[in-house]
Amino acid sequence: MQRKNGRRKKIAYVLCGILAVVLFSGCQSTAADGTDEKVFVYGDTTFNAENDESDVNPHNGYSGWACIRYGIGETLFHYSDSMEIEPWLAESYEIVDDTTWRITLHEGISFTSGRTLDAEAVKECLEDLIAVHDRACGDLKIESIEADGLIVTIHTEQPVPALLNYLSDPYGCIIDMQAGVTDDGNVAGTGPYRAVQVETDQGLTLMKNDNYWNGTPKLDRIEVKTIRDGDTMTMALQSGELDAAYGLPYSNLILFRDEPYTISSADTSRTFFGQFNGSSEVLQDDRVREAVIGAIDRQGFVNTLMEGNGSVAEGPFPSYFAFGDSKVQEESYDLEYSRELLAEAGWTDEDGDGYVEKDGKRLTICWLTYPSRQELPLLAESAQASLKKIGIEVQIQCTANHLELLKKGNWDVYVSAFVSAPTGDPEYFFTTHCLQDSSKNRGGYYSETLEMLEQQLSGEFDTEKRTELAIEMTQTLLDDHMFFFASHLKMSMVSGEGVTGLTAHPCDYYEITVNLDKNK
Amino acid sequence: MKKEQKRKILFYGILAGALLLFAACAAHLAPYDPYEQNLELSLLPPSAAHWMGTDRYGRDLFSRILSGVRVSIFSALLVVAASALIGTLAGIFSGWLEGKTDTVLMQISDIFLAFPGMVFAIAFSGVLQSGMTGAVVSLILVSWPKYARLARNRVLALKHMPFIAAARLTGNGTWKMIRRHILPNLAGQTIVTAVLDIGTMMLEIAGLSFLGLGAEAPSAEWGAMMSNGRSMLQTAPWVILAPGLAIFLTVLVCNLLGEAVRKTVDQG
Repeated sequence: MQRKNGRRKKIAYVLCGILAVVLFSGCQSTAADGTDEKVFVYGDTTFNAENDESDVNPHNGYSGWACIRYGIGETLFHYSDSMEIEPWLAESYEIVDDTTWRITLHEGISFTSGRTLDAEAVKECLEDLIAVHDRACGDLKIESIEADGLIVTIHTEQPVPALLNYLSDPYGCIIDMQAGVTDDGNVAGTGPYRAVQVETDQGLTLMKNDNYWNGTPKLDRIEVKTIRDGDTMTMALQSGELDAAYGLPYSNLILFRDEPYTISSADTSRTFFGQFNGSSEVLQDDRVREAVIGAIDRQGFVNTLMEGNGSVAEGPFPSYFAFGDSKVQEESYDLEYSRELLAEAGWTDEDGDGYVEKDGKRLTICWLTYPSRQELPLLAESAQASLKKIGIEVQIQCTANHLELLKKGNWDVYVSAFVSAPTGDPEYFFTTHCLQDSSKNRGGYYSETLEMLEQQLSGEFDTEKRTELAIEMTQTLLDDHMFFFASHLKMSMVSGEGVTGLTAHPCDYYEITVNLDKNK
Repeated sequence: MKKEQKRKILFYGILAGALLLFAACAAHLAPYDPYEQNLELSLLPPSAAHWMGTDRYGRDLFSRILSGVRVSIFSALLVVAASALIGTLAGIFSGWLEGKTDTVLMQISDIFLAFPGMVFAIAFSGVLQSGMTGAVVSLILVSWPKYARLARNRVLALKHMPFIAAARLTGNGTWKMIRRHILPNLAGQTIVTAVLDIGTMMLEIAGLSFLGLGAEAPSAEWGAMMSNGRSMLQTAPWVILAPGLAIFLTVLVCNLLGEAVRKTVDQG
């Protein structure tokens, strides 16, 4: 009996030993060549199909954001911290005439596929971009491209003063078209990292680009994890499962204020704004729209619900732009004035139920938004309460299925988030949202004045005149009361112990760079 | 019935009654408007002015909890009552008529029973996308088969008993026999099952609301309140603890009452 027990004990010890070895071996990553890997785990809320970022192919919707954000692709030009255009893959440029741009590329750059970056590769990439991308063709207006060694000559159909800005948009990441796009949407770029696994809505695995041209990447492998739930991400960062994270709930940032964490923040042009449905019967009257705008407590939203992680918006552009908020005037929060406007428009509380009616019909608006941006449901609920104060009933539709509902048209206000000036130029917002043929003009807004001003802006090279035009266009937009702007976002990224080089940028899409490191 | 058992039923009955009273009088008992926002009072911890603190919109949590009693309890009662009624009627028809009617009705109930209840409810609520109504309808859909099975088996056993044969011989019609002899014999078990189900249904409604498939903003439904407050678990825990505690206590009272009723019926 004793011998049996002794044998059992020995077996138990052996099993415990094996278990310990297995467990401890999991604590250290070993590369295929036997050396220790430096692995970095990054949590992010944004890499998902709902955001139109289903892969890293820059020619697919907004996937270029993932491509550039995770250090896979690079553009010909990029933005400095003060949003000034600077050469990146390009070494220099020259404006030959209003419709001809000559760009000289850096020498010695190669794609992660091994191919050398030259003018021909850029030509192939841009030609594919304008052929397949929904926005690029209208933005760039490229007529033809010539390639000669390291010199790319771009001819546009008409003057495109913001061409360099558009080339700096994430969709402008230069990828190797000969290597192509894999079935899972992977591409070969020139960045410090290359994706080896791409899983929509799940994340991706990046490996160091050993032949990177602009420094030495410090991490061997990066795991990007899509974690949609901010609380899960918070706890993952606290437990050490993540080394850094982007998209944490504001209410949780306070948990990371002290050592060993660091928070990097930057004011961005990501704007939370609404569009009115031009087909909505109750919103045909300009006074009703103005009343709605005047009853949204933007200051309270920014100070309390965003916990100061943003700034009140007047128009689409933050005030640090020359054409930004400080130059335009939006309706101020004034409930009394809003009530007066409604009364003027014939909406009064006929039955004393707290809501205004006209011909016996209550003023009810459907507020359509989506939950993947944590601020949007908060804005909806806040507006619901403040609009109730002036007698407007708000029915909130907050769903990931918002694009389907938009098409059906059964909504009155659509509130979304958008980076209004990712290229540092104002034209982008107007062309995407405010013109008759804009792809994101959800409410069918049309202004003859705005269309005319856009004509002028699209051909204007002088920066000061562009600024003046942008201010005039913004004010036109605000005066028509078909759009309202609630706030701009201050983006924050939290780094864990030993992480360096993760710095928030005002453009909102430079995150993983060659400088990122982890020393723990 | 033992005295102690009677006392238990009385005690839990009083507690349940108090909850119903709170539900009925919530509007008068709440010290503040549960839906009025005041961002300056955002996230205040519990104090004399705000017993359970305030949420991120500055709304008084105690007032919202009181207001939520109505939403949570009445929704659960509606689900239980509708499921019990539909299920019992289906079961009686099935057991009484037997044959093809029985086969068809029981196969339909088997289809619903084949899915895990909550999973089916989540899927159905997601498809309906109609907030609390969708949640209530989906829970009724997954709950009625249980009552149908219960009633059918009991009816099958009862209908061949001598007292039913005697009733038939005395000229009683089908409806009269069901009303006078079947229903009274079904009532005990059905009531016990229903009372025990109230707590479960409250949890499931809260669960659906927590997932965003039940009550919509700005409803003070407890599950939705917990969902809205979950990002503040570490920074303002009272926002999630207040509705969590309300759910816990209410479900506990319902379950203890159900258990006491069950024991009494079993002993009877």
